[in-house]
Amino acid sequence: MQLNDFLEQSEQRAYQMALYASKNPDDALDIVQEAMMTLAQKYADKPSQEWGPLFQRILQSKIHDWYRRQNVRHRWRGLLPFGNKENRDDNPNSNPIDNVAEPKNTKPDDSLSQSRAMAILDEAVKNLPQRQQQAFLLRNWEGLSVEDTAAAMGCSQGSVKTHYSRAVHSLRTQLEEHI
Amino acid sequence: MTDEFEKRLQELSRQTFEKKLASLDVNTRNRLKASRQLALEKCRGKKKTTSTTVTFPAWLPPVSTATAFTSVALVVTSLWFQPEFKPQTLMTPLDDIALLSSTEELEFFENLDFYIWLEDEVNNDIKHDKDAS
Repeated sequence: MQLNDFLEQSEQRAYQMALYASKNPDDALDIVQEAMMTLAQKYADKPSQEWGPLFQRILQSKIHDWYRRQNVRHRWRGLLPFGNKENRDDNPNSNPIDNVAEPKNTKPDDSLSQSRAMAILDEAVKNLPQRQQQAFLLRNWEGLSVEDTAAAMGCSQGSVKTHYSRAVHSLRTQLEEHI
Repeated sequence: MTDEFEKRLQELSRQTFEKKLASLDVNTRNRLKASRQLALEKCRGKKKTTSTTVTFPAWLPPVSTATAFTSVALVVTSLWFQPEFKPQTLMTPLDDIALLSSTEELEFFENLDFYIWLEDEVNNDIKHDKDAS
């Protein structure tokens, strides 16, 4: 497999994962670009079977870096009297379900309830804490094993299990009545 | 242990994510493609740079190190065993000062050997004349 083919297959999923984390399309694109650059520059010579785990590892690392940068930025903004304007409307106690737009078609059928459940899940995953979100996406979307998820996240298998179980617990409280 | 809710959650997640992928707009797809091309170009650039760099054979570093050590040893040995430096003249720094402060013409010092010889000759002649008388 050529590196171009691998990146073509992976880039959109990687973008979605970065978008879940950053909630900003431009930042998500930057994260994916950096991850692709790193893979192409440092690991292009590796066997193609290794690209998948390596790319996940790099991507998760870039997402983690992005979080750290954001934290530092927010800390500095919080110190300034005119800072933090963009987050003034954020309420940490708000329920993500309330933010989901009501579907236009209000006919109560199965497909509608399905799309509503998907919208709620989408919003709930966006609002998961970073590590729980990573664990959930890697396990459920990428279909990685606990071992591979731990390698991608750079933590122990026990941590992955904890993050994943907390994510599922959090989603259960928000979604149980919808699925 | 995976319960019923978790199974349904996994299925719903898969459907949600696939739907999101399918609904990705053209602009984002194009930007991702551009990022990929850029990454691949960097990769090609790196390979090109790597191929033009000079690669030395494996035997070169130890041989060059040994050569350097041998050269240093030779220089040290030759300096150690060279005969002690002996100045050919018995001039002292005071002689230099006398030379510099002298009012004589520089030509005099350049032909100093001649004048010393001349003085010896004159002295010899005087001595010879004394002996004769």
